[in-house]
Amino acid sequence: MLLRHTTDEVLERNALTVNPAKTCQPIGAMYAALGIHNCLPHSHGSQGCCSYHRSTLTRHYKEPVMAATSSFTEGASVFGGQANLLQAITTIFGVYTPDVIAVHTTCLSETIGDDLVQIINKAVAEGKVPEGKHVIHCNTPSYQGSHVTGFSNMTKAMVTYFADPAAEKTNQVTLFPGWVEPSDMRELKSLAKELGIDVVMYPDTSDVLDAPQTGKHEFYPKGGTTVEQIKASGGSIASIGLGPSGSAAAVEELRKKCGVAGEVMELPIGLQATDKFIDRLRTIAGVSVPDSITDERGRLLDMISDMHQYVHGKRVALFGDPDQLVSLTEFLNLLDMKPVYIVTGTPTPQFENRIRAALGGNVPEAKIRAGAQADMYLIHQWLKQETVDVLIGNTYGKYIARDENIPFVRHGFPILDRVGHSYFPTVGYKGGMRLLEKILGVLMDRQDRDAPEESFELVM
Amino acid sequence: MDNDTLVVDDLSHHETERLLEIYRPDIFCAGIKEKFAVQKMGIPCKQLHSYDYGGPYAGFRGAINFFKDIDRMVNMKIWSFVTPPWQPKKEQAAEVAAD
Repeated sequence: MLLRHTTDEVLERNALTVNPAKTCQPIGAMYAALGIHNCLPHSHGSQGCCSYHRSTLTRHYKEPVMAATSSFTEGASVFGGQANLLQAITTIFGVYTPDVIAVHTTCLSETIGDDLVQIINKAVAEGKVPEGKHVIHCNTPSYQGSHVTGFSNMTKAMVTYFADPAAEKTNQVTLFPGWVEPSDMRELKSLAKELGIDVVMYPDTSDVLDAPQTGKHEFYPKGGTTVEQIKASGGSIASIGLGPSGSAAAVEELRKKCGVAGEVMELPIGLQATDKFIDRLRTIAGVSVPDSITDERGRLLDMISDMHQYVHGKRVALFGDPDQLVSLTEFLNLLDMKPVYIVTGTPTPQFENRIRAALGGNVPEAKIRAGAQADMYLIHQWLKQETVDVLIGNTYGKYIARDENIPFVRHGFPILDRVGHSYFPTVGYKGGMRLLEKILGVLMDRQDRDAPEESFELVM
Repeated sequence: MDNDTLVVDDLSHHETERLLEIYRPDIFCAGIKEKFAVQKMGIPCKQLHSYDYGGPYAGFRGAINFFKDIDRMVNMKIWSFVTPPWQPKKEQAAEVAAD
């Protein structure tokens, strides 16, 4: 009982967060920056921030995560970090030769008030940025938003710095994948390819954070969207942003800067959201959906109809990032499961409305909260009041799952104690099958574990 | 039994298929070997030998179990998603064919 002090009595709080269901902005900016080819993320702040973000990303992916830092000490904290960043830019281009340095700020440099635009302009003016190389930036103060905000800010910065309004108009679609795994990004590209649609997708962490073992470490792995591709995205016929929290800002920026008509959809997790995504893509590009995709959809449907009896009516608690939670809720509702507690630490406008829409009028008793006080302590308190059959969330949920004896499905960020998320998507129809398999796995394992001898069944 | 109730003993697979096409029942009850063939036609199928590993169905409490199982199967949401959005609905397709 590691969380034995959690009580079932919920007291309204407005200044205290206990075990937040979110993390800092910069880690999202760092993750997004890794999705640019030949890019070194750079943390403008003290070493500790950079170290923490690299450690967590590394533990989540079991992959090398390279990033630089302005290494603030007492001096920089008082006089500002300009000298540190200028020196860092010189050193990085001299020693590590990336195409792009993607700078994000930290609470410290934000509080000092460092003007990144001015510092970058100075670096360019002083010839510290070699010809054909780039320094881009976004502001990521962690006293606002969450890691998802940081991801969104860096994705938007890619548009701001690179998308070219004069790019040749092409018959391609710009796709902003939102904060999903490398496996998901690979799957999104593969679905577009199957449809016969040219997409330029960024960021793209596939082939970066799921690199093969070859006996050689590539400091810049072969994946990531190239600067040329991002420039060309200014000439796309349309853009689609998946997940409002992660992608809406980039969609809007591309519209403003390059006049590319865009729309924001929910993340294609589960049958209905994937249907909408595929249907939208085929309509924009004027293509027909190949049998291979229709068949894959059919396999998901078949699995749901075959296994429905084991999931229907089961109560589920979910915590994580807003865009994931909305689509997961819609999928669970389709399975006739009952998502009763839904919590995200990311402040999200319209979160409850989006979740209620995903529930389509079902589960009116569902408790839904977003923001600073929507933390893991709160969801644990609700669970103490009335438990659930399945808990879905990142690795931090394991303490609650253990204390309350609840079957636990890991989904979200970070997952520090299991593998698979890098390799097997949860987006698309295939992703829906994986999610359902995981939910069924924990439920049926529990049934097998707890069944008395006389009702322990070979076939269930 | 009501008038027009159809009673067939020793049904063949071919007869099963034709009857399902003609009557489109809300639910079909049979055994494990029929179950998935019937469900492929978009019709839920309840196993009457194993009760789909549910039950018991005997007695008053069993009747409640039976009701719950049938209610679940007839009303599960997934059946209304069988046709993808990019294909005409089955009924529409039939009308087009009839034209």
